[in-house]
Amino acid sequence: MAEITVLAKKKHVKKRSQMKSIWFRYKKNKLAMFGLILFITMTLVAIFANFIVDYEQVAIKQNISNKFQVPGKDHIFGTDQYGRDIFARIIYGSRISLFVGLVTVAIALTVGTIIGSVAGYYGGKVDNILMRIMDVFLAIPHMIMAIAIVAALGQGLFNLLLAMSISKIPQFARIIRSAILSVKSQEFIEAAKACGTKDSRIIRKHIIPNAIGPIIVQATLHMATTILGIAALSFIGLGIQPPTPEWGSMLSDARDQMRYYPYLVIIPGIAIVMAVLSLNLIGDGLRDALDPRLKN
Amino acid sequence: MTDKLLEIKDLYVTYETDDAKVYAVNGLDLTVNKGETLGLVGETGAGKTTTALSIMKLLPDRVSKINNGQILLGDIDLIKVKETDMRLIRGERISMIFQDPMSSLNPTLTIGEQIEEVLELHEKDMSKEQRGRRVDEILKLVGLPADRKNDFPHQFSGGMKQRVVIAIALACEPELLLADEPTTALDVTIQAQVLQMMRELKDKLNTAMILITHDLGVVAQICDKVAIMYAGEIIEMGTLKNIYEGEKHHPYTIGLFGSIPDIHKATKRLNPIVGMMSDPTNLPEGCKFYDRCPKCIDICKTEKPINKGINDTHMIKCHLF
Amino acid sequence: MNVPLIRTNGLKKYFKTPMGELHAVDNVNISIQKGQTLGIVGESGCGKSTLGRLLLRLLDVTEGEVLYENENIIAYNKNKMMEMRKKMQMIFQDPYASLNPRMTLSEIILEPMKVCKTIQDKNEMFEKVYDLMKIVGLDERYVNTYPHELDGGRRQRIGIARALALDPQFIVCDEPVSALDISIQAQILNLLMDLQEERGLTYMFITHDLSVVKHISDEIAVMYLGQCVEKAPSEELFKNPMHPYTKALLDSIPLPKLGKENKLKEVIKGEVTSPINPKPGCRFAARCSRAMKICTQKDPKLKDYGNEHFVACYLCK
Repeated sequence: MAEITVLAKKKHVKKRSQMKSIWFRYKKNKLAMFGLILFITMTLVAIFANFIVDYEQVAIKQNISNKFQVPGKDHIFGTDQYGRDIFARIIYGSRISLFVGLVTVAIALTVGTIIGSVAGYYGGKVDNILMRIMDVFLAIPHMIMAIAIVAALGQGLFNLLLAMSISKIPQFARIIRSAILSVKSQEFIEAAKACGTKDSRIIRKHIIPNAIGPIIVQATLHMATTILGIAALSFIGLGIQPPTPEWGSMLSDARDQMRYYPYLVIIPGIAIVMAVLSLNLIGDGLRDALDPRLKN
Repeated sequence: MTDKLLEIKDLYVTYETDDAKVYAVNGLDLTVNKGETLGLVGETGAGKTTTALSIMKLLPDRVSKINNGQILLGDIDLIKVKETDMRLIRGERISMIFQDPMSSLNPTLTIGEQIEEVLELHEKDMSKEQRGRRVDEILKLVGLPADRKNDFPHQFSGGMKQRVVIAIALACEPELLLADEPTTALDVTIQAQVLQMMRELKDKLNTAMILITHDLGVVAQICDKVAIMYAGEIIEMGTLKNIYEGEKHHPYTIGLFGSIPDIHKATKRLNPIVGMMSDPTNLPEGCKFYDRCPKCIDICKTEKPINKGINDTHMIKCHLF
Repeated sequence: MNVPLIRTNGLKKYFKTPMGELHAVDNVNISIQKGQTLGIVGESGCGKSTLGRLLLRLLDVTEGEVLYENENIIAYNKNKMMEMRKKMQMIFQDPYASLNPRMTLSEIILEPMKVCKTIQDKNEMFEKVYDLMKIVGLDERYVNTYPHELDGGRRQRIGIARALALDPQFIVCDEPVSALDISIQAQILNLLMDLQEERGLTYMFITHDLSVVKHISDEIAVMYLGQCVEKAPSEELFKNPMHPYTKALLDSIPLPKLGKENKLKEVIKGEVTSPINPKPGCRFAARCSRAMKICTQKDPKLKDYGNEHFVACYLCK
């Protein structure tokens, strides 16, 4: 790159990334690291699930003779009422949870950022209209809205994604709008305007990079609530349909057997807790690492 | 019966962050007598605020450390005092006011309530009526009408807010007031009003004061003694006359005076001190002013200078004397 | 008489607030000759910063004209204004808030060049960055540092380098040294004066500090509550202040000197009156010890008292 050529001639100091110092601070937070390792493990397991257990044979195929096997050496987590290996179902279930969690947040973040940026940067009537629309969505409890959307549009992965992201867009829009408001009034934005910088460039290059901290933190926390949300929807039968394994529906299926085979409930429950916990720890850790200490 | 009110001996304070250790105060010696106003002058990073916070024991918890020294209020070494006892001292024997009046006041309490709070804490045997009357008295003292005591801070201007802050600080008539750049955030005409008021209060209440500032003009208005601070230590100290009219000075002091644009002189170019204060995480071995001093000699690089008494009241810490 | 590089004509800026109209800048007429410095002095709320921003069209003008080389730039459309922006730049007060914390020093200085496309070649751009850094006294090794890693003085130098990146003719300096230590202030002021000499720059220097403005200005305008109350060449203003507010301002400055002549004389009483829906008459009348009846009835106008000295006050004959 031209930059490095010219600068290399002058023996410049290597550009020290701000990322490095954020990572450095994050590393020191033991809980946050635990959360990160846990989450990475779960992600890897989800991605490489194929190599760990076979989908059709183990997670889906029913084997009544094998039913209700308590966790032991053949089946680490036991089997359910259809003889399916719970360990396999948990692993494949993580794919759904993590995938939907990620995509939902990605959609909500993108749309929310556009809405929030425009509202925050331009203010006035535009801000008012956009935020009032967001308020209407926020006034509806988001699980109920998700339920309503799925009920109206029918079940399926796509509709599930749609339902979950729509309910999250207003929250992201709000956060991004307030982040932008706090940066907008700073003098370096005025300085950019004094050179005639276009609005889009100001938002892109000057405002968003400075507002990204709270946005990232919220994103991780929302992933956690999305996972819970999917589990809840599946629990009441509106989420992922059987026989596809999903933690929430596994809980639902196990409801009647709880008293006799508590492991059927405990194990999916723990999986949900671990996913949500790891994301919360990452979110908290990021918030601390991105803290105002960056300014000192 | 000694006149000494506060004596700081050989104070060392450091801040330890993840990245580095900051040597904020390095062997500070200071004395304030009863009723006396000491101006503590220095630029950013000299360690003035750290010194004040050390006296009040309000340094940030985990990152700061007092490594050595004594802070004697009368006979008591404040460094050794427990927090529960320190709370009785703060507000009653020593008070502090800060630079920004905007953030020093609680926006959800009326100013009357905030002044009363101090009285409730320290003057336990006052009845409610007595406290009310004292609040009125104090407001009058700082030049505010008593009928505004039920107003909130946001209803006052910057200068008036600072008067409220001073009122709170002086409510229990402390022996010592620490004022950290109290007029820096104010307009110059308001600053003049507030300085005049502080001068009158000083005479009336006979409170001793340490006034922290970088403004040598403000010091000339209100202080009796001046201490010039650089990189965590006092490098020159004396009476007003010693510092403003004396002939001998530390080179830094000369540089400070030379940096100030003078209204009455017609010079075009200013004489700033070259360079900047040394990095407090990496202080040089000898004199800390060595790299900026126009008069430095060889010994300045390797050996730390010691206090040289020019006369009874005037001290300079420099190898040149 | 040369055409001034920049001047204003009846410039007004009013803000609408729930309590009424806030007169931030009220009918201000100033003019600056090429290569000169006009100091704008006043306390908080006088409208000086607003005035600076109006000149650069960072704020919309309510009424009035800003004439650059005799052309009204308020009437310019977006494209013409883009061209104009290369000629007029600003140095900001706060060395912390005026730099993007996520950009390195070189990126900050490059940004105006990228936006205005003044230089196309990347290598040339970097050469210019190094040049500018040298001119403002920033060592090469800081080229990839972030603002928060540097002190106030160096940050302000970055601000100056950025302002120079487009080779402007006119720079509004909005309290550029107020947030700096005294010894650093002196360094930066010297730098600004050197730059003016070398490049023939024209400055509008906004400050509340009278001692600073004297050193750098050729002419000074004193502002109070949005209006210009006195205007005179620098020496003349200090030798012979005529408006009561100017006198009070000069008297309020605590001098670093001992002796009787230093003890502050009569300080102004009271607080600044509200700039919202101001009543007719002199806005300083409420605090003026010598106010007369006419002062509260009609707005005083700026009158010429010779020596290029203008004052808006009924007390002056």
